[in-house]
Amino acid sequence: MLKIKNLQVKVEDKTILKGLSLDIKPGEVHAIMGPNGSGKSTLGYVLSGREGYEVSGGSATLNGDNLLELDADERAKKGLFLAFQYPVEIPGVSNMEFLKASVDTVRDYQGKEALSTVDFMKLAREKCKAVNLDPNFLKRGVNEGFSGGEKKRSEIMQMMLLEPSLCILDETDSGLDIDALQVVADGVNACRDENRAFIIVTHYQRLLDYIVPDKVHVLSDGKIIKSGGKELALELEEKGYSWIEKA
Amino acid sequence: MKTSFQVDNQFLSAALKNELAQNAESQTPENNWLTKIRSYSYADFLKQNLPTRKVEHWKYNELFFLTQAEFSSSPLASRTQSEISDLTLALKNAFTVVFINGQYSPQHSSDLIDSHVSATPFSQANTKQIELITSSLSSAQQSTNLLIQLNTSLSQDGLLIEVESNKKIGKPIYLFHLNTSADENQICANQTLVSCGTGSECQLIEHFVSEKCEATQLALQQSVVHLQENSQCNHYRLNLEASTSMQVSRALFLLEKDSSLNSFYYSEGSQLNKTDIDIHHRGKNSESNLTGIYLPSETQCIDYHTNIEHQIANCTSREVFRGIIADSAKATFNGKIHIFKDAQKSDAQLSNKNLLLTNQAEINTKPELEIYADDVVCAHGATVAKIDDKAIYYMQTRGINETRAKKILSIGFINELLDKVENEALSHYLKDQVQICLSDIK
Amino acid sequence: MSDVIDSYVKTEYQAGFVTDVESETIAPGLSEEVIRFISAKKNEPQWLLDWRLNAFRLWQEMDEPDWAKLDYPKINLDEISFYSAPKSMDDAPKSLDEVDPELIETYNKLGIPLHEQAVLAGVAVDVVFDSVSIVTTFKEKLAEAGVIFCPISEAVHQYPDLVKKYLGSVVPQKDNYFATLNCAVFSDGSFVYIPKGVRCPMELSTYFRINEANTGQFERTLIVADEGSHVSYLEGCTAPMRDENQLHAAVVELVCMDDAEIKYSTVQNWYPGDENGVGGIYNFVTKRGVCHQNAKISWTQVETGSAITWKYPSVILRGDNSIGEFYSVALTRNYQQADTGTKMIHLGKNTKSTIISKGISAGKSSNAYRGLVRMSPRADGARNFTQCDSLLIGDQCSAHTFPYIESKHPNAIIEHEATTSKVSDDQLFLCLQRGIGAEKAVSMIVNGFCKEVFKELPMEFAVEAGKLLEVSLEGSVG
Ligand SMILES: Nc1ncnc2c1ncn2[C@@H]1O[C@H](COP(=O)(O)OP(=O)(O)OP(=O)(O)O)[C@@H](O)[C@H]1O
Ligand SMILES: [Mg+2]
Repeated sequence: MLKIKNLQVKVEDKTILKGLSLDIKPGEVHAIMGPNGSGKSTLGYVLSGREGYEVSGGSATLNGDNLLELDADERAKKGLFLAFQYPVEIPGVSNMEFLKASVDTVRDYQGKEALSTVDFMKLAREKCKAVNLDPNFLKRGVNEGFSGGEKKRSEIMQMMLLEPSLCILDETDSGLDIDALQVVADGVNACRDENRAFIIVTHYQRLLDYIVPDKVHVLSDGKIIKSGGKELALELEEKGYSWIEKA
Repeated sequence: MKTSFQVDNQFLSAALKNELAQNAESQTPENNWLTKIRSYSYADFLKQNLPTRKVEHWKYNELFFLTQAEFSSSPLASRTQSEISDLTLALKNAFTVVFINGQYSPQHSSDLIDSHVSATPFSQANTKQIELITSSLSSAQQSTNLLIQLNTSLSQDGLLIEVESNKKIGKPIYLFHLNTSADENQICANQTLVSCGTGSECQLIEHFVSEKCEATQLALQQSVVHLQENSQCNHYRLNLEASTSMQVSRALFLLEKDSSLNSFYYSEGSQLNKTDIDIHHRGKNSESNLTGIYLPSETQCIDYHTNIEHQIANCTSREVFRGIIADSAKATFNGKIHIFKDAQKSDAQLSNKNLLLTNQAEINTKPELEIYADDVVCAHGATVAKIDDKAIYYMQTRGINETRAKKILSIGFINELLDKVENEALSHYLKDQVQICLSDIK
Repeated sequence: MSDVIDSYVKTEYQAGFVTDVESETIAPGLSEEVIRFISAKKNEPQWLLDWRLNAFRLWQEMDEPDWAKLDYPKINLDEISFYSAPKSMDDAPKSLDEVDPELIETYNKLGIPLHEQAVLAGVAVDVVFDSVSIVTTFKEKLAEAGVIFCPISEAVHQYPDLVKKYLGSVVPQKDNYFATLNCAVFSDGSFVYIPKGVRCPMELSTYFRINEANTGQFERTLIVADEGSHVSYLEGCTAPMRDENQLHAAVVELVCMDDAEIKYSTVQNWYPGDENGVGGIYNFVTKRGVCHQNAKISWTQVETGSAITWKYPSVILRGDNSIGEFYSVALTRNYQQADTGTKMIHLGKNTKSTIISKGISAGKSSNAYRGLVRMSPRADGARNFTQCDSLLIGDQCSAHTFPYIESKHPNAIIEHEATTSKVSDDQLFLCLQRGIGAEKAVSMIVNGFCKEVFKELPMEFAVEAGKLLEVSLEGSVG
């Protein structure tokens, strides 16, 4: 589904990803761990088409499409979803208006019938409940004044609403209390199926107890320096990163 | 619409006019640069008339009073060292530079040998210094305030203070200005240029006092502080003149790359205190932090016009002014932030808060934004209010009487700003001064 | 993403067609004769002619103001015709059936159907075409409630006492260059009177259109809300695309008696000129209301048109406990220039005012907020809150804020806040990541920025205003 080959990325003349390769098949969950500043968020941004990242080598395809030459919204329409590490606030634009616009374009692209406002509202409320957010959040501005945890839950709610095929969750677990963590994990697990893949960026093994990954990768200094099964996360928790970096 | 009074230089005494005219004619070939600057400014000044309130800069304080009086030049006055010492701040270890009626008084000033600081009268400047002075003064010429042009014309000399490059000056440089009492209306002028060398650090304290008298003392003053690359300057200006004095002044700060300015203004008001402050961010990554407190009472007038120019990208400015206006006093605050085209990533914030204490007090405030670049963060806020009734009540329930509560709250209103004063002796002095100044609150 | 932003600058004006009707237009230039001509044309009583002539004399002594942050060549009044009316209006139509079908078609094109049955439910419309009012709908229904809503030229004859009493009572004849000019040459406009205690049964609305070339439009609106009454009034404006600049100098006066309320909304979409800054309306408008005890005036404006906008709808809070509000969205693009804001003059005790201003500048435009909040020595307990935000789109435009705050009362509280920002890349990226196209994303973000103001507009207008911004945003995304 997602094939990344030897990807090299620069930001303002500084090379951040230094030849990263990754192959993700439908239905798989890959966890990416790694020290601060190693390039995890950068990977998510490059894949989703944020400006300011210069690809200096390598390739990335999603279901055969060359991701790197598509506009960010095209990638979203093709089913790529990024849950942001730091979701931005858009004052005055209500969540409802925002989500309707988003769902409408994505469904339109997929050739699905447009949802009526009533149906959309029903669906949105349902998803809110699933992540334990008060449906009143739909009336508020996008992320406006949301607490850290609320922003994260709102990201998962959006993911559930858009039903993407590749979900990248960038530290969606940081800043969540225990109950919220459970809620988020349940949300993700509910979305897991044979056609959908996940990249889960996290610093904590704990999340991986709830969402059991097929593979765990360690990203350090812009490269994947070790890959393994879910045991690798436990080992990392115990020994820290220096253990591999030294090797 | 009438925008000016037709009086030109009539408020100057005959002797003064004569002196100015003579200066314009006498063009001694050598060392005539100062004469030239003076005569150009005078010509500029003469082209204008005194503005009325129709002119934006003078909207709340016109110069009509000048049509009603005549001013002669302040005489050379002398005071004994002990007379001076009684008035100066008790700063431990400072380089003191004394001005009496605008004129540099070396005999009262500190010896600067081996201090990495130098003080040179303009008239004794060497070629390199002249270059520095003329280039800085030419930036200063663009003032919209015609009395500042008059200041330049009237200043027979000026003082250049240089801080050596890459030197951190531990002791504050203390500029003490005294205006002596007089029997008839007098006008005095002063211009001071401070050049902070590349990579230097210094503290600059300007302190203004005047002797009380019946006649009006009009003091004109201009300071230009040029912060060279990577230099740092902590500047303080205290206006503590007698209530009969008038001061019209301007400070221009030129900030080169990576330089950093902290500037703190404190004024208790005099008959008229009109201060223009211009901060020009000329080099990238320069920072300025401007703070002001004004506490006018009786029938005093205080007028601040500040203008912060982000001429280039990536600069940061912060400005906070607070005022408490008592009795029939009047305060005017005009704070402008001007972001030039292409000055992207500018970050500018301004806040002005005022407390009016009585029915006769007046405040006019205008925070302005002029923005020609899009990737900027700019904000300003202004408030006018009285002391919070709820807070007074709360304090009363804790046994503090109303007057005392008001006083405590007023001091609280400006304390936050006083905390920015890093010089300890000065900080103590100002905290006491504020107590005294606000002791009359009822 | 800067492509999106570029496209913001390149959209076409939608109301720029010309209607082909035969008009009677007097020769350009201004003189006493012209004023006498206008007055005679309208069959005006002597007192009104005298009033106009007096204004003209005052005006001759005045200079065009130059304090605004506007840059335009001096207006040459010798090139402007001060009166133009469709020929077919000579014998004024008694009902809609008698109105020239061309005119009706014009308004259909603009989306303003004039046939009562087709009119938006509950909105009565007065339509002013060049210098004259051509039709007022729902007159009878309004009359039942005792509400007077008619062209001011008609009111002069039918309700001379009311007009005489209030005309010039809020904006004095000498007020300013443009207002005084209007007093001398005003053509037509609406007159509204709401009797004591009456809640106007429907929204009242006036549409202004300049059609003829080289004409100026000088309409005059007077609204009197008697004690305890209530009215909501809407105003919309359009003009054809022409290469020359046309002058529009209107005066609006609101009189809000004790306990009354007037809500005045404007969607101003005069022709703004083309992408090179050629043509467009010069809009110099004086709008002011006076509030008596417990009265409330609320101005809401959405300004997207005009080459030059010079406009400061104001409220004089004379009566104790009265309330003034100003909600404004001003969008400038291409070479448009706006200098707009409000004045809140607090005279009475416990008076309150709120100012929310949203300025959006794009292209090479300049957008300034200019406001005055004044607390008089009597304004015990008065309050003002001002929020003034600017959004910059592109690095060629500019945004300015000039708030004058004057207080002479210790118990008056004033709070003013202003911010400047741009459409952030992060916000745009979030939208794109969720599949929302760039154009739609910018439009959503800009609409969100204006939300606080739009929610003050009556429903029909809110939709229209939102669309107007969207039309402005339409364009190619590279
Ligand atoms: N716009 C930028 N300009 C300069 N450096 C940048 C920029 N964006 C990212 N970087 C740098 O790239 C490196 C990788 O950043 P990234 O955000 O991808 O790290 P991360 O692995 O997600 O870290 P964390 O665990 O802290 O979230 C960091 O050193 C960061 O400072
Ligand atoms: Mg990260």
